[in-house]
Amino acid sequence: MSPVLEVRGLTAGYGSLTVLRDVGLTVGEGEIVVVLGANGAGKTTTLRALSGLIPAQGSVVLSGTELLGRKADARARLGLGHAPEGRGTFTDLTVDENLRMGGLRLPRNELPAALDQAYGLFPQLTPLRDRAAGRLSGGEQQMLTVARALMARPRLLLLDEPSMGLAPQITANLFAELRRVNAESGTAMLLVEQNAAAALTIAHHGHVLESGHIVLSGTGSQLAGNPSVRRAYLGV
Amino acid sequence: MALFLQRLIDGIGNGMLYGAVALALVLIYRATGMVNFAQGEMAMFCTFITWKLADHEFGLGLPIVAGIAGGVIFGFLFGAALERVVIRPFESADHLRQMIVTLGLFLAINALAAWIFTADTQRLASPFPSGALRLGGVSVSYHQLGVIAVLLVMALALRELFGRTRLGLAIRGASMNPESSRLLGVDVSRMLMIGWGLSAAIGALAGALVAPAVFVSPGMMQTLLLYGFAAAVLGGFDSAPGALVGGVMVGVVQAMVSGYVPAVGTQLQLATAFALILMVLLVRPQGLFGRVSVERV
Amino acid sequence: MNKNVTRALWAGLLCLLALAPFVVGTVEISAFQKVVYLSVAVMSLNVLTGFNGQASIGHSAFMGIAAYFTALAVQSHGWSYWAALPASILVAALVGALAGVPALRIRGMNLALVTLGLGMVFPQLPIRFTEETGGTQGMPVDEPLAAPAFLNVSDVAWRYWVLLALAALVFWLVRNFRASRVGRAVIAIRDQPIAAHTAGVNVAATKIAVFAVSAGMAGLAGWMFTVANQFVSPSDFTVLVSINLLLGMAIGGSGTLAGPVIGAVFLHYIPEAVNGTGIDPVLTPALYGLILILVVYFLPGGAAGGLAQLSARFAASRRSPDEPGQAPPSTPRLTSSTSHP
Repeated sequence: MSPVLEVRGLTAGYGSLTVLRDVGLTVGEGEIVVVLGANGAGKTTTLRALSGLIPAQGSVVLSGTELLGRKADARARLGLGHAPEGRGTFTDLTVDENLRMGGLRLPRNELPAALDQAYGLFPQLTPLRDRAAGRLSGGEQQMLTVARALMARPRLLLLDEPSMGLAPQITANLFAELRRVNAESGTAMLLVEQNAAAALTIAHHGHVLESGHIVLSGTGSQLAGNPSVRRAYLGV
Repeated sequence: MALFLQRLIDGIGNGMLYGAVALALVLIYRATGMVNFAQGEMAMFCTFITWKLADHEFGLGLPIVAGIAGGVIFGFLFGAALERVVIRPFESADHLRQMIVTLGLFLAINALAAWIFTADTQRLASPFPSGALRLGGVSVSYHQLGVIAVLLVMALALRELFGRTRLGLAIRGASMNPESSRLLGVDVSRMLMIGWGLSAAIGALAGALVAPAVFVSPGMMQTLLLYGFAAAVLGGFDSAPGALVGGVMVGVVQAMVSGYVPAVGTQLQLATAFALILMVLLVRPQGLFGRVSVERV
Repeated sequence: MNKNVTRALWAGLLCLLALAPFVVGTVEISAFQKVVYLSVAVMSLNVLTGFNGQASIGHSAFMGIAAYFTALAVQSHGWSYWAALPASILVAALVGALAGVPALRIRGMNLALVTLGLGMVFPQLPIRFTEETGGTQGMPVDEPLAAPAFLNVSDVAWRYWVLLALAALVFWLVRNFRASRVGRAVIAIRDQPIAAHTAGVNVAATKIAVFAVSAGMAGLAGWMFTVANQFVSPSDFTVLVSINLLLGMAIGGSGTLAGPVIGAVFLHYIPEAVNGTGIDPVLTPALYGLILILVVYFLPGGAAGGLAQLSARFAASRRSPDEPGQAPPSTPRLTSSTSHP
């Protein structure tokens, strides 16, 4: 079966500064793939290059379609979802309107069900639906960006450090929910994380990114068992 | 008392028009973060189109309502085209440069209108019947009533557009956070284009409604622009209902001051708009209805 | 460009201009007068943009205030032009400072709105006081700024020299201020307002001071206007004049000394050149608008900035590679980092 995402020789950066060099990875149908890396390793840059927020060279194929050379909004319309890290919400829009932004391209009659699904995914958001997103806590905003990206029913969801700023218990819930969504809808996911312990529990495959290169790849359990990963990312 | 009421009503009637200009300014500001100094000239140009469609002597002699519809449709296309061709290259430029570009448009549109149409003053008919409603000593012209009704309907329609429709939501999202909007598949540039188009269409409507009173000429909208700015500043510059209420307040203040303060009289009416801008900026810079944005803590 | 060469060029230009009355006729000298006061007016905007990163659409009003002040003082109250000179500058600067106070709060765009208001309201004032000012008809000033008898030169030449000397003085002061410690500090405020604020600099007060100085310079240009024309009317000081001054600044390049001169020459001679080509003069402002947009897009440093870039490139190419040379000067650009709405 052909992979959902196939990345070859991805090179990207900001201006004259090259951050990523020759990154290659694949995400298979229904797979969860994690990219581990420290701050500044190029994790966010990888996702921004994939979704077209910064220019890149190489090849990025989503379900048979080359993405490089297309604008970010065109890539999104091809089924690429991206939950950016941190302040990615529409701060002056309500939680409900933020979710509706995610569902802009859904058929009208599917919107109510998708909203119900989003609130079912993060019940904490239900009482906040009429509050401006800018007034939510960091963790709540994080949930909102994930739920918003899922509203569009992407083929592949890019997740930028979804555990950032969340309490361990909430992180565990979030990852369990991601796993459930993945199992139920078959949405493929590519997440970049520093929190290796949580991410590796749900990942089918993983890569380790250091200074813009992929230095290690394997299945989730292989990486979890790798001594250098354990030392660097699991704190054992 | 009757004189006071008369002035109040005249002020409200004029104020609605200022509010409409302010609404056009606010729309572009909310969609693109730009203050468009060419707003009045764009409206003037569209009003000339309306005049060309409706005038019996120099134009096609269509019914005035058709002329106004044509002007408004032209306005939408005109605004969208200006955004695409002139404004888009400066989408990410700083405010100083954006301002200078809209001032360049101001000069260009003004001179082009004088060249294409005429530099002379022209008449435009009102779409409403002539005559007035008399209540005691106060008379309200049907034109004034019509203007108020049309602009109220327009304001409600805009509220519906931005509050209820997907397009309105997408425009708001695109101006608030372009990057996240792109990640959700929104073509941000197209939203800005639609924002400019809508804004110019509103301006065209305002121009056509004000023209029966001030006539059609290349300079017709220049003082109105300042009143519109005053209304927008009063309303908070990012609040659509605020723009209309602000407009009515500017209109009433203007009518009262020029009516009851002889030193101001008719020649210095414009100064009241200026004084209002100064006062609001000093006392309540976010305007009466604007809120301090969540992002800008 | 080499510093000494630049200095020599400026001195040479000044000498040439000073000798002009011996060479060309009265008509040309009148045109030169106009270019001189226009350069001072463009320079006043340049100071505002260069030091504050802001633009004004109301400098026509500051010019007009000083021009009318001078005309009324000389014509109706028997002042001499020389007494009106400092007074008219002060009045313009004072109005500028007052307008600057509310304008500088919260959003940078507000300054544009306030100055637009000033620019639009000012022409109404003489109309309101038609008895004193002649209203829309304008107001002639009978008495010229006469040359001292012992010099034995024509009044026209004398006026031209006075304007030229004052303009040269203004340019020299601006140049020195920009190179001074205080001047650099003011520029730092433009580029790093938050850093300057944390360093204890009163950003708002500094900006208002710059605005007042800029308005005062526009006032000087207004005084020059009355001296040169002996006539003032509301239509000489409309918002369109302000926009034209902005055009002059954009064309010449903000943040340079040569820019205002280039801009003023453009503003005076382009309309004539346009007329010469047979284009309908009604279209001249449209051409201005188009040029304004194109310049902001293609030549954000203006003509002077473009020249500086060219000469830096030229100098760099002539320098042998092993000779350590100065880095090319950074081109002052028409940008603001501070004016967020």
